[in-house]
Amino acid sequence: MVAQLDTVDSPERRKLLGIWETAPGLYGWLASVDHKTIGIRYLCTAFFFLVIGGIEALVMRAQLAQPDLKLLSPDAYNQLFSMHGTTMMFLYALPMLSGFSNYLWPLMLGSRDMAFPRLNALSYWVFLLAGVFLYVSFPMGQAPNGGWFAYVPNTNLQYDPGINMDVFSLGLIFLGISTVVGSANFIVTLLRCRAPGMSVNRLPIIVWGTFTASAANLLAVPAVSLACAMLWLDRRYGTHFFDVPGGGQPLLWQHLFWIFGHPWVYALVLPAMGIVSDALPVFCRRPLVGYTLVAISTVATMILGFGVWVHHMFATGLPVMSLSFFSAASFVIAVPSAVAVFCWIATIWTGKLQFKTPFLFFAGFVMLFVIGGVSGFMTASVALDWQLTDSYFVVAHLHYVLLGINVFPVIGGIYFWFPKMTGRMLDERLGRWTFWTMFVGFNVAFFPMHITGLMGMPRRVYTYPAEMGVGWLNLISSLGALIFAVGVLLFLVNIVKGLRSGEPAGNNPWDAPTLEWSTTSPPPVYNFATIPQVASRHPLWESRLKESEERSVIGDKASDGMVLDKGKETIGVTPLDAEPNVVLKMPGDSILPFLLALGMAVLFFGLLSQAVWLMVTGVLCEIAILIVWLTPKPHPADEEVEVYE
Amino acid sequence: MSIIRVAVGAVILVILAVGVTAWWVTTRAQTDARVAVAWPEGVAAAVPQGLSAGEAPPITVSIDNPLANDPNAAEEGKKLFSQMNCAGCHGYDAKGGMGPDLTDIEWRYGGRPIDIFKSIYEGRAQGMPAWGNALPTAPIWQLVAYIQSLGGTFAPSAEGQPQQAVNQGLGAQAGQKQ
Amino acid sequence: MKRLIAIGLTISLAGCSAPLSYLDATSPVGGSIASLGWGLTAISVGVCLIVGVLLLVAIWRGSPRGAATVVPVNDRAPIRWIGVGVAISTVFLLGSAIWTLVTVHSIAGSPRPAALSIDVIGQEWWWAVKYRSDDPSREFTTANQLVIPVDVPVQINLTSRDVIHSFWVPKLGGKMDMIPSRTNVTWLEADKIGDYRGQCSEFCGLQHANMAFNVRVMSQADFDAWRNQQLQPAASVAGDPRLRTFMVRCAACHTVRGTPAGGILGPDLSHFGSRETLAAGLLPNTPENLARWINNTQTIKPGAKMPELHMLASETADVTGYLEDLK
Repeated sequence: MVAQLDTVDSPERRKLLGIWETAPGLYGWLASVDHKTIGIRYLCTAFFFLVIGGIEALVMRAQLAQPDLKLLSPDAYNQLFSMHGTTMMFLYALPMLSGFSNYLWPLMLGSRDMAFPRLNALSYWVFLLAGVFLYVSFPMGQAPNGGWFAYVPNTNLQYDPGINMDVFSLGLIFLGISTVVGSANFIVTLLRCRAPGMSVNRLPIIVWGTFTASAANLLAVPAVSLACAMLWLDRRYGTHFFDVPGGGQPLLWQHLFWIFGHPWVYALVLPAMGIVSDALPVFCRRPLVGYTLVAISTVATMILGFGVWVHHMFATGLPVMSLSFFSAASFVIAVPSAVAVFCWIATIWTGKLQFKTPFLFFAGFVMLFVIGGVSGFMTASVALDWQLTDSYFVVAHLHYVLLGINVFPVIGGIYFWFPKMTGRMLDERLGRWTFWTMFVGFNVAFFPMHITGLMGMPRRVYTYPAEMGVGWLNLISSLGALIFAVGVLLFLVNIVKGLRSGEPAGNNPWDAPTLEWSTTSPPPVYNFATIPQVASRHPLWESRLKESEERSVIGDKASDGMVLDKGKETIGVTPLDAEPNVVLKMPGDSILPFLLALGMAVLFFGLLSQAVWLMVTGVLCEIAILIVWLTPKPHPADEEVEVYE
Repeated sequence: MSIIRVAVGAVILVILAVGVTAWWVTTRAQTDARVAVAWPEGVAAAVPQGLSAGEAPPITVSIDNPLANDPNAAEEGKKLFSQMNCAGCHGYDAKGGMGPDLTDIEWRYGGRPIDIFKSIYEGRAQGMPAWGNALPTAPIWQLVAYIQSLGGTFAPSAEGQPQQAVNQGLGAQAGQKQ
Repeated sequence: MKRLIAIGLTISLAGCSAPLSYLDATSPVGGSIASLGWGLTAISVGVCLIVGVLLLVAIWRGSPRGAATVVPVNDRAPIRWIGVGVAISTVFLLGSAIWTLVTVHSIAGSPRPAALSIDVIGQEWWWAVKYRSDDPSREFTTANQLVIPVDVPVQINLTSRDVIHSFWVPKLGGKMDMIPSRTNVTWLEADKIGDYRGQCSEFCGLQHANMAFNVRVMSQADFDAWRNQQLQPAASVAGDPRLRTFMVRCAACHTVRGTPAGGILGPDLSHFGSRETLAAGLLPNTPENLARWINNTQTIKPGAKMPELHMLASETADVTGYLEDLK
């Protein structure tokens, strides 16, 4: 990574650098609370899990390429499809978006860090260790095997002996801690840690998207954590929440899981839609059409998303009256999405286009969004869903929405912000090859699954008979998956090439309008030398858009704005209008988040192995670390601030 | 610095390779274990056929295995274990498979000889067939003798045997070993 | 372009003989759903085409001509067009919702009282089928197959003995889950005589993929004859050596009405010889397949609850011969 020093060398900047820099060496690496470092770690770790989940998928597609293949035993296949789902849904999708948000929010909002830097570090370390926890089961041949949805009674101890589902339930509770902690951080950051003048109607849409998703996660994640805790207690402590002989209710699991699961899938896509809403206009050389409409549609989608969960349970025999309500709600939720799609198309229509790689991904995203959306519209119809559910049609739908609305914007977003994060450009030609390979591979792999599903192939099967007549379609899907994998490989090659020998990017290689493009690439560790004062939605385009007479102030001299260099400081503002009202003191490097996460891992491994001494050690460590963490420390006076040379 | 990165990368790759190999090997092994070992032909002809007219012989409730002093009982029982295909569910070495491990001290329906007899004779939930229709009591006691010889059963007079069904968790039941 | 090919494929496949395809259904329920399905598919394809065209035109319009500078914008017109698009989408959404609710209302319950009631109980990984009757002496059990008369509504009572399964005969109707501790009621009515394949459609463990069944639709007269035949006990000849082998090897888990074999753990094998398939739709019912199944269970259906029975060649011949003779 080319670390571009700030082009202006001044005593103020040197002082800020000294205050904000992370400690050197291993300690600094473990103790860093810099949101940019954490953001990049999230992106890399999530991408690693994406590749692992993708390999799991490739092995499954090899098994399904033809009828009656014997590459995988049913047990091995069940573990693979369960871990593929779990990895993608929990270890890739949200952490990837958290990575973007962590990196970008303070820069976009004009702040120096998130509201709770140590909590931020904690959420990363817990995510990493929870991922390790889940994957430790693989070498033992005991990976979760009940599907990512883990329906009971199939996952009760009676039908699933072994520790597979204990790893699953404890692992999800563990990971839920990271999600909830991260969500709280985002919400408070949004409400208080912005630059003066960054009122709510000037926020980038990715901020709207992540904020909405975080608020939803705070409500939804406890449902799945509770369900997993109940499952684990049933399995290991003889409770009877879900086991039928003891009076348990199998449908209770489904309700708890899906009342989490449906809002969760919106949390996985709304921030990515925000990425497109922010980056696509840059390549159309104009602001997004219908900013307010898109912001409202984001929030509306999320709210409606809490009212549709039963559409995952249409075949369970619930009363027709309630199924009808949820079917109607599932139709209604398409309306805000339609609003957003038309806004994006209008932006392209009225724009002057630059066909750079990110634009290709965003244009492809719009098409894939619509295809995924209409297959969702078809499954929203409860009567039709009685044929479509649990068939490959749903597999097609879910991959169109998840890859189309999460992965494609993510890859486009990486192409877009890579110059900012690393100071180098990615190769354009390789980028075009990447896009087309991924786009073609994706459609060849997943479009036939609509037809496979309509021909009656059920999902979650390790093989199928030749008489079903779907062998040729499955072969096409498997070949498409291979092509898509080549696209991902090209992307990785581009990243490596870019890191090594990419063209140096300036501050603003795309001539984009938002605040992060005003800093150097990569930004200095303190983000802004003086806190910006924001006057519009597009600070760097103000003089050209001429929307009003006011101009944002993004300066580099003390006379331009608050310098806030008496320690690690940033400005706190009022929630709606962003008027500054407090100077926030930020914590420095701290090894405590890492230790707390380690203590949690000890606790969870103790719970998994039922070793009381491990559990007790874990709990005691956690209590001790929390006491140290929460003990208020005196603020150092000006001269005593630690400065690393 | 870059040597450290290469080393870390190599370590990660090795861990991944070992992990994947271990997964592949363990899942194959679990599947292979289900295919029971083939045993020699001709043994089935020696099996005493049960009464096929539907008469169930009465249970003679004794406290101990009536064949306790018969030195050949366990041997005969071992042969029956194969011939009657107990191994198909309980494993060739009786260490469990679809059915529970018969060599440990966990007994869902009791571990005294009479309890084991009743389990075989009456059958039990979730898959244990009722052999009382197919075997006279003598071969069943021979099977009991064989299972006793595996070391996990309790004394005939052992008190306080918990007779609980599934979901016992990992806690071992208190019991005496014979 | 890809989309056009796909649409063509979809239409042409409707005529293909895919046994589980439900685009051409042969039942009132299936037909209702199929019409709705075609309608919503048409709307979906239309939406994709329109959006695709809009996107392509937008890209073509916006292609670089002159300097790509940022200039002031007036978005009143685009916003109005967005409104138009959203309004049209809402109309179609509303219409589809209403059509759905009408369809649900018409298929939720049978319009005529059911002439036949069948219990189907899912197990890992086969189907127990009990024909009910007001006269208890006319009730009987079979497995892995349903035989029903044509043009008659049949009530199906669904439950499970272990985990959640799902009952699905694509050509005859939608699916309904089989949940332990609950009984879900659905109904079937077939318009045409023939064989229809059914499939479990809720992940239920190792052999979810191989849990299928057959629905045979016959004329009312043929059905009555079949039912009477099923009610006959097996012709059991005293001292039949094949029956002796069956009793020793199979009776602990299987039942054959008319013999002392009364096991309830595995499928009921009465009149096994008249069944189309064995092992829950996995293999055609032939003596060779039956012999293979008995001696290689775990290789054919790994994880199945039936243990591998390595029988002598003579025993295998006895059991397969006996079972295939149970017509």
